Amino acid sequence: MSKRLTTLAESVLKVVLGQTRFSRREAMWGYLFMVPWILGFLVLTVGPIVVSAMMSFHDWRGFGEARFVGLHNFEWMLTKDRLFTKALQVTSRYVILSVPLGVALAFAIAWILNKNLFGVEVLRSMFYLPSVITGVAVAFMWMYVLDPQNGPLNMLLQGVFGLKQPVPWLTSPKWTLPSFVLMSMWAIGGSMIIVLAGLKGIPVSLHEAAIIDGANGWQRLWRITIPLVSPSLFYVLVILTINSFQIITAPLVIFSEKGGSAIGPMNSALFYIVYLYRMAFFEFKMGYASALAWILFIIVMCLSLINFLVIGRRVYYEE
Amino acid sequence: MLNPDFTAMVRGEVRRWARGRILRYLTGRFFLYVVAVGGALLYAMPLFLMVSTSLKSGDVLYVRPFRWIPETFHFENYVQAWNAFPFSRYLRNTIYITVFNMVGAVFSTSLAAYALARIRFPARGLFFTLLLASLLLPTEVIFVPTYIIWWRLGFVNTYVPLIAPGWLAMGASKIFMLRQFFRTLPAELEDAAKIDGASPFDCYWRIILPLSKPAIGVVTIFEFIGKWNSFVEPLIYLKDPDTFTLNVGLNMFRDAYYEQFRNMVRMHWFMAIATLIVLPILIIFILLQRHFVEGIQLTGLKG
Repeated sequence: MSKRLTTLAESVLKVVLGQTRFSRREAMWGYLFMVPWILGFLVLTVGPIVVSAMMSFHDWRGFGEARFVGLHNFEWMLTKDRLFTKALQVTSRYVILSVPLGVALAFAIAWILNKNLFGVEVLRSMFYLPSVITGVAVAFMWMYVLDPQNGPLNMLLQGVFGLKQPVPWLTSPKWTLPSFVLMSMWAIGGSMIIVLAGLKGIPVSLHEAAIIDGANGWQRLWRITIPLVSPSLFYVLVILTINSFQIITAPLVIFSEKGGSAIGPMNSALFYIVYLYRMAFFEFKMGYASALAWILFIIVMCLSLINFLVIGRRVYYEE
Repeated sequence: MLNPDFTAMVRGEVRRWARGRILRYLTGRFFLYVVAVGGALLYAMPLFLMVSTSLKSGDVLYVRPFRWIPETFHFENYVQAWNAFPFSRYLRNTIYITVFNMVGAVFSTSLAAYALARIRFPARGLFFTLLLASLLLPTEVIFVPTYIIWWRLGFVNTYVPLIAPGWLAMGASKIFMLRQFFRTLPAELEDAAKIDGASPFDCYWRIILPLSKPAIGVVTIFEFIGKWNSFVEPLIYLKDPDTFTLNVGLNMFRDAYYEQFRNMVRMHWFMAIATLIVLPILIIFILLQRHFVEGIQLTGLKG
């Protein structure tokens, strides 16, 4: 059976991929090695996409029979559901703010750490460490640090920088988003390390040649450093864009007040995935949540496509 | 013979020029250090505050002026907070889930990576493309339909949905990283073994894995951090309080000792538990940070 399948797959793929001969024994080993991944890919990646596509046309409360409702979920989402609009608004604002800032900050820190400073390894660790620490503990930490009345950050701002009014982090609708952007900037270390690796790959001879030709630091930054590090920057941009849609733990933990239904003051921290989570596991609207998941899936894919088509083209690759 | 006045003039000019350069260089360096050290301290501040608060006594938490280092260290906070809730059980559950994932992930991802790096089979390119495409699809986006699938399979309220992804090689970035690493190893090593009749599995098990300890180490570390920190998956799949993990437990702990959002008088307890949760990662990071950085630089991928 498996032999026949292999032969079949082989002959089909020979046509599709134009491959020549494979050792059948070796090919069998190859598929055998791939079995866990193929299973996982089918059950945990393709499966959910298919299931959510199907469920999005149904009304299902998490038990009993699912009822087919056609396009009702999407219609409701796009015309009546104001929280959906709110979630989309909050998330897009967050993405627009945190992604460019993140790329810029990752580059800035990497650029400084690439300057042969004394003790650079310790500094690098200090910038990198926060990015490996996530989860509930960090959300708690920020709840304390950003406490408007007695939080250390406001005390620092008032004591050292002479700020008159305390900043209402996390308590005013206006300041919720900046608070989350601040948290994401704190965790930028992983991206920074990627850019730093890119910077280290730039040959010193290029800079030396430019100095001899009389280029100043600014010109060298824009004409040499940034073009040559642009593949790393682009990679960081793609990953940060995808990651910024995933934000859920911090808003969920910080604003999951007992019995409260809003996420943050006036729902100002109602990130898309948080809304999805509440729909699925608090209101048990599995069908509607699936529709929401599909829309998000399309948005994320489109944004990645835009990243590749619009910005990916400007990336400089060495021949 | 040049006019000595002229020589002196040139020399003075050069000296002035050089002095200007050196001065500019030094001020530049100075500002670099100020920004770098200042920034690093800002980045360390939240974690430092977390630890310092965890050692304060409950009644001086919000006393002004703010104290960065508590007057007396109250280590008993840790014991009290730990024993106020079944954290020992949560710790055991978390270790269980994390270790099973680490073992599974090492095997499943390295097998797939080896196939993609070294074994020639039809549609390998297609598999690799699908793998890279799945990098662009975060699990958070599909967690509701994934939940529906596990529910239909009857695995909700078990550890299966939390452990299976490790054994099913979920984590495209890890496979990609291992593949890149395997490709740097010389193929001659396996060619010799193959002539002696070794199967691909022998090559993988006896030649490639022993040579790949650093890369396997990186995968293990990232898997550990990912599962140790994970919150949403345990939250949705585990219904029985006895099966909760540390992250879910800490969240419950807060709810149990919840006074009012702006008046959290148990902050020192919360910070103590938070510190304990972060501690293993901190220790691993300090001991193995070279591997962290290498792992990321090897592929440009994180966790």
